[in-house]
Amino acid sequence: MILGASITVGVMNLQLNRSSEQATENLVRYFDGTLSRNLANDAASYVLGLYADSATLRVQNSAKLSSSIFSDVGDYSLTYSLYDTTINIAKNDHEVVKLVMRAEYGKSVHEVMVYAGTTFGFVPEPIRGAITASGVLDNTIGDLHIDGRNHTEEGELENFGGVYGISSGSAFTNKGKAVIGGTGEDGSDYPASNPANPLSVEQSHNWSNTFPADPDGVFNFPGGTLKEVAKSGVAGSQYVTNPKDLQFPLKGVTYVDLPEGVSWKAAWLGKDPAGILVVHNSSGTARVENIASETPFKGLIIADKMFHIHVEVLGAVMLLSNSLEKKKICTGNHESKILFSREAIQHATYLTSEKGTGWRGKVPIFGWME
Amino acid sequence: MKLLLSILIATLLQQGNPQSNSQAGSDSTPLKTVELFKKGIDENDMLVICKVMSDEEGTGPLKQASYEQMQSSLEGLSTMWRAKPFTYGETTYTGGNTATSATVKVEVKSLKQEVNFVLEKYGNSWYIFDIEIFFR
Repeated sequence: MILGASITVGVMNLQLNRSSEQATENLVRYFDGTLSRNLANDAASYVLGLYADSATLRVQNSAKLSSSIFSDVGDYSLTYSLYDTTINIAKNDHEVVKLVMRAEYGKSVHEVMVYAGTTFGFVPEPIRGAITASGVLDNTIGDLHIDGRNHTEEGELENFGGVYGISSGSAFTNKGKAVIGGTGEDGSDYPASNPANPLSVEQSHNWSNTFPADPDGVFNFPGGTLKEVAKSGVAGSQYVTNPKDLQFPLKGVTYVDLPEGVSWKAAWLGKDPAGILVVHNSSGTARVENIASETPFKGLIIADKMFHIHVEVLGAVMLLSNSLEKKKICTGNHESKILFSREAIQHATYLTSEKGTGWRGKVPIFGWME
Repeated sequence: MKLLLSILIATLLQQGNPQSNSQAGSDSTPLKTVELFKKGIDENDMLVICKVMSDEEGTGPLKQASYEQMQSSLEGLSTMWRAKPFTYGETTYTGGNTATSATVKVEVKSLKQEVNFVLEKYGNSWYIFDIEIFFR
């Protein structure tokens, strides 16, 4: 009887011990798994931050990442590679970089793969159309060719990522018989035509007092940021109060701060103009006329007012004044095109992003897989 | 000294009054106005140029108070076109014999430009309301 009870207790003890060991092992495995997963994701973020500050960063062969980054979590190892490749999204090939991050902690291994864009920068939220304005655009656009569908920086049509051809906070009448296309609210593309498909035009958009009051407002920057960047001269940026002082080619942030009531009546942008062109003054009356260039402007043009648009733009145009041209008529700019290009805008805006502030908001992520 | 300066300014203001010294008077034509504009450019006489300009809203001749701003606005054009011959093309009137609006076509061959000067008639005189440049 006693012997039987002893054997039973012994077996029970053994089973309990086994269960306890199993539970401990499960706990350790869970702990290791969670830690390696977190390590892989955090390390991927870390490398993307480096990439955001240095677009040329590549690590072709798998390399160890310094173990001092997360030193407080114990013994682990991180290896990664970062190389160029191509992925196909919506029938379009995209050049991307692929980051493979492998974290080992204890017996657990976790791998993260990230597909990141090679074009940094961002498209400011207020850019809702190839031409965006709060005021009445009827007399401003003439018979331009305007296409809000997304284009590459070279002008090739993309299959997604477009905006309206025109977005206005006011009613819009196509007085000049402009050819207009764009991407509707549901993401459908509408080729440029006259008359335009109404879904490619946004009129009377309710900004609810959020329409940018000045160029910095377009980017949600603190007041004076763009002017500071322009004055710094970074990447060829320049600040002038008289257009005759401009240096060519235009690149970086070109800030033309016109005196009140003064128009820039022959705005020649030269060859290969790019970046962010700002024509603004504190009273919001800076007006640019007869704007033209030898080759297309690539990037973002932000002006208080604009008239006689004879320039081809790959990017977008934003007009800040609520009082645009009402009487003068633009009769012959049908050879000029405003083609929305996310890529061109991203290239232009990347310059304005600060180094060392991480990758979020700068590096487009196409996929993050674990 | 201040008195002399005041007299000088008053004299300049008087000279700059478009009503007292109209550019072409009753025999003004759109073409003559554009020719006068070109003469002002070639001679770097911004006062002459301002006198043939309409205000931006197209409500009348440019007010003297706006001359300085107009000079600044036209500085680039003036530099670009100085000593570059204009070839005058046709004048198109809007509204027949009683037209108050006209367009004078000009070619600046050396710069490969075609230019439309849009003019408005106030009283008997024509004033430049808009300049559209086509870069070829």
